[in-house]
Amino acid sequence: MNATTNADKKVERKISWYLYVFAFIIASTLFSVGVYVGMMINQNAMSRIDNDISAINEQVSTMGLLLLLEENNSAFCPVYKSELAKIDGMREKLGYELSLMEEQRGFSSPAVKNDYMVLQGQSYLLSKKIKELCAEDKNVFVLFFYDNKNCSDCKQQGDNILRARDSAKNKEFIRIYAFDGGIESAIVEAFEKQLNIIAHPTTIIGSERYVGAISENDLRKAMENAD
Amino acid sequence: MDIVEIANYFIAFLSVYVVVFYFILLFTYRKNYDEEPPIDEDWTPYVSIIVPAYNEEKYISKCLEMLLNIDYPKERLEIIVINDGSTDNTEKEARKFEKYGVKVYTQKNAGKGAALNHGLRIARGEFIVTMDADSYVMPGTLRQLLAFFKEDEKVMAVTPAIKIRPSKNLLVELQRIEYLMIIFSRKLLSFIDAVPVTPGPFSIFRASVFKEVGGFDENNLVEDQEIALRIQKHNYKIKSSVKAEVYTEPPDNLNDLLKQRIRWQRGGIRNYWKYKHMITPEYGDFGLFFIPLNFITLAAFFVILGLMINAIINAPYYGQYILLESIISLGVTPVAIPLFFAGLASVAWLVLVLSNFKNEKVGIVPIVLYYFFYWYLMLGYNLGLVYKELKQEKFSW
Repeated sequence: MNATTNADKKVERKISWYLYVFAFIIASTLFSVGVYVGMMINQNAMSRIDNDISAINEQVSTMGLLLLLEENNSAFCPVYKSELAKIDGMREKLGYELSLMEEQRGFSSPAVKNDYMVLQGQSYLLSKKIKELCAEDKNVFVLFFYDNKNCSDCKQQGDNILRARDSAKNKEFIRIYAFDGGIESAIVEAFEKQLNIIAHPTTIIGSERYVGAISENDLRKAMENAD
Repeated sequence: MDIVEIANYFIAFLSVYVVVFYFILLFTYRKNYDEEPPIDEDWTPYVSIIVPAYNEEKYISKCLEMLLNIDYPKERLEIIVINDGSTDNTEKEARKFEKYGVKVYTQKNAGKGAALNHGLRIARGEFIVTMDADSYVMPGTLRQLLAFFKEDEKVMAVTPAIKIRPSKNLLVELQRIEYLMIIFSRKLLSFIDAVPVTPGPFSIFRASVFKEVGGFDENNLVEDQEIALRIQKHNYKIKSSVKAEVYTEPPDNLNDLLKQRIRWQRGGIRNYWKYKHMITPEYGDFGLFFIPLNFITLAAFFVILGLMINAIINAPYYGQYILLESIISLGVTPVAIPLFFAGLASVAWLVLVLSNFKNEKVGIVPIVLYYFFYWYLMLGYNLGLVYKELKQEKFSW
């Protein structure tokens, strides 16, 4: 047997185009269906968040109304504070969920985000009112203005605020309200205008204002010493 | 869409595509899968079996005993042991079989490729078997493999079903599953002339093919793959059998396994790089699909690693406030469902492959571990490959 003989034994190479094309069609279909199902799941999750926001918004409005009806009676302070603490807990959790949807799942809804900003605005104003009414209120308000689209320091600053809050001595009294200046929201615009916010991130802790990125340590000190 | 999202979509689509491709390949050739050419008992061409051996005193006796037990006329069979400068009693053990006609030669340690070439220079057979000294051939294997050459004279090499015996060692069991998966997919690849390796434990060649393509590459970490790629480059046919059985001894500890696999990965990717010019339609499915797939798969490993690192680094601090149930109810990344489909299809594939080997009973624990954790071992091989390449570490066995 020699090389000349083997030359006749070469394989005629083929390209199984049908395999690649079929695989592509089926894979693309599965892929598209999968992405679609994923988006539907996200859509449902977002609807659930929106419903929860509406429910809490309703509770905030009811509390505001009660406050007016009772003509700012400080006797109800313990009730107000306990109700507000519950609302704040739910509000914060919804905020985390919205961030998770937006940052980790890549799914956002401007309308839901706007509803959440309204909730934050209302909650803040209500909390402020209760703090004025109830003299012994130790709550510290942290207003965080950020922009998810055009601010490289904002994400880190957001994490720093949470870390600082969690390690602060008075952590149970710290209330964080985060406003996304990167979305079209009348309530955020109004707050930014009123508080003269011109850059992101800006953090207001009590009566102190911090522009730009602040370390976790400095934030914690500011939270612990806020009036 | 940012780079992380693009990477996620790329991995998800690639996973779905590859699994679907193999299913379609199986569906297309499902009738041919079990078909193997009939054995002609009267056809007994002269066969030379070359056994290169380096420090194999533990296994070589059993290997030779099994070889002598092959169902084939002894006068038509030549067994050549090339002792590659072993420092143990390999030569002594091998010489015990000289009285049964086994030829034993000793050379200065020069590597497996050189030992195989030494054997090729001595061999007189019309067909050449290359066999590792830590492997054991079943009596009917040779005839089963020769039948492929009888049926189709274009066949230049045939690979058997290389298996691992059941073991209580979990690592060995994981490799046993992997070997079964390889047997199955190699058979499928043979239908599109894309067999990428003639495995060292046992492979059979038409002797004339070496005259045409040359002997084994003596400076190669995986010379059994390099010779197969060279045969493919010359457009010769390599077939694969699922019935001709050969058993081999796998590494039984993590250190040896990593050492072996990093060598395979390193040598393998270098070989594919050496034959990258075959990525043209001229080489059919092998050039257009199989070689690129190896590069893409390697790249995919590092993309996945990057995505994992990115996910850890950028894990949101607020994540701790969200309980598991709300994470689950909070939906999924858009690519998670296609990845889930690919995952389900891989489970189906695994079950299908294992159920195809009815005599190979595999426990549920190794199957589950293989499915969920073997990937991390492969990632380890690839990291080892990169580390050693960056270090420009000298090739060694």
